[in-house]
Amino acid sequence: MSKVELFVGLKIPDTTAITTFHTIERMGYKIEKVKREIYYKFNIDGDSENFAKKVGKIDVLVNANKNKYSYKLEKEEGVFYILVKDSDDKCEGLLNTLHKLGLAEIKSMEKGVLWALHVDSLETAKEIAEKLLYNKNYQEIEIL
Amino acid sequence: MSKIAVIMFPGSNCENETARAVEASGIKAKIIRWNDTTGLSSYDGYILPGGWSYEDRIRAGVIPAKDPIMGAIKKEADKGKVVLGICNGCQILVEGGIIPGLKDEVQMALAPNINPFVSGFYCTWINIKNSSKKKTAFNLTMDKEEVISIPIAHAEGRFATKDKVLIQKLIANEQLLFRYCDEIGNIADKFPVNPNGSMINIAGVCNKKGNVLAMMPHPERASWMRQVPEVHFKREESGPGRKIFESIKEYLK
Repeated sequence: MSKVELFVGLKIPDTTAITTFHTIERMGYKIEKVKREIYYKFNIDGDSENFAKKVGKIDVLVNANKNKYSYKLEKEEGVFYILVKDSDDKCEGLLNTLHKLGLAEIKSMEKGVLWALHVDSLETAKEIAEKLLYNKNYQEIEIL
Repeated sequence: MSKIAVIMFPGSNCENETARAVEASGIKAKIIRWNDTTGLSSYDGYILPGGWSYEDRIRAGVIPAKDPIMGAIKKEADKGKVVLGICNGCQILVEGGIIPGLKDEVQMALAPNINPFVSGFYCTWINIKNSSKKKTAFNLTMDKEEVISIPIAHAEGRFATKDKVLIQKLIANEQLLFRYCDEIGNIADKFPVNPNGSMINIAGVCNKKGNVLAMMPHPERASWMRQVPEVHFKREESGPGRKIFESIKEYLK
């Protein structure tokens, strides 16, 4: 079993990230930049390189007109990365669709939203996450 | 005459029908923009209507919950004024920690629906039961355990918490005002009676004082019999959802 990660962002302006930036500022934090990507992790049975070539072309996940994607998180200096996932989301509907689209090698998958926060410290990033980016009553976070 | 402010956020889309239902119950209603807090305290109550405020960015209800107007409304609620959040308004009250309001933090969530047939947005008529012994601003005109038929329309309506003690406290405090049930009032925790997988069939939670209610169903869409499916007579009579607004009128007397 191997693992493939997919990071899908927008090449058009991300209005959610813009609103998030302004909300964080209004909450009193000093922040330089917010970026957001949709994160997928696939546990597959088969060759990961072959799978990666196929999955990036599935338009359910990546619309070439507006999305850009990568298989690796390119970390920037001074930016903190927080992944928010729904605790009980097994992505059943999406998994079913991907199987129908020919990606039968996926055994399980995870989905989340990856926030890149350009703030002064990890503590600040965690605090912003707790107050705004996730609701602990059904979601969880991971620092990448 | 009592007057209610219906708060319109960018992306609210039920403010007009909510104001009409409030007026039909004999309360004056005025639609107020989210960025105008002038004279806000002159109102007797506030309604946060349904919609997709701020396009549900980040998470339904969380951005408007941080708007300054919500701080002002919380202050008015603390004085005992009526606050009703319907659907997206319900999400705002929960994300702002005003409901259930037992601690100064967000204690619950409106998580994505769990539905065996439909993923995402789900719209249908369901039944809710007045399941609290407490007389609040919202059930004064309802009989004990009365069942009403009412529509829902949401993608994130599943009341959830990871705090098991909280649910016990909400039961003990009689804060679980409305719960999903079948036509005769049985609270069966399965689809379609529970349309979104909400924890113990919760459809509406009030605060401890009973002057603030967060409910996912839409009473304004069941305020005239003409809105109720399969009913083709006495169309201008009050519908089942009107009772919630008439209760607010009684409370404000």
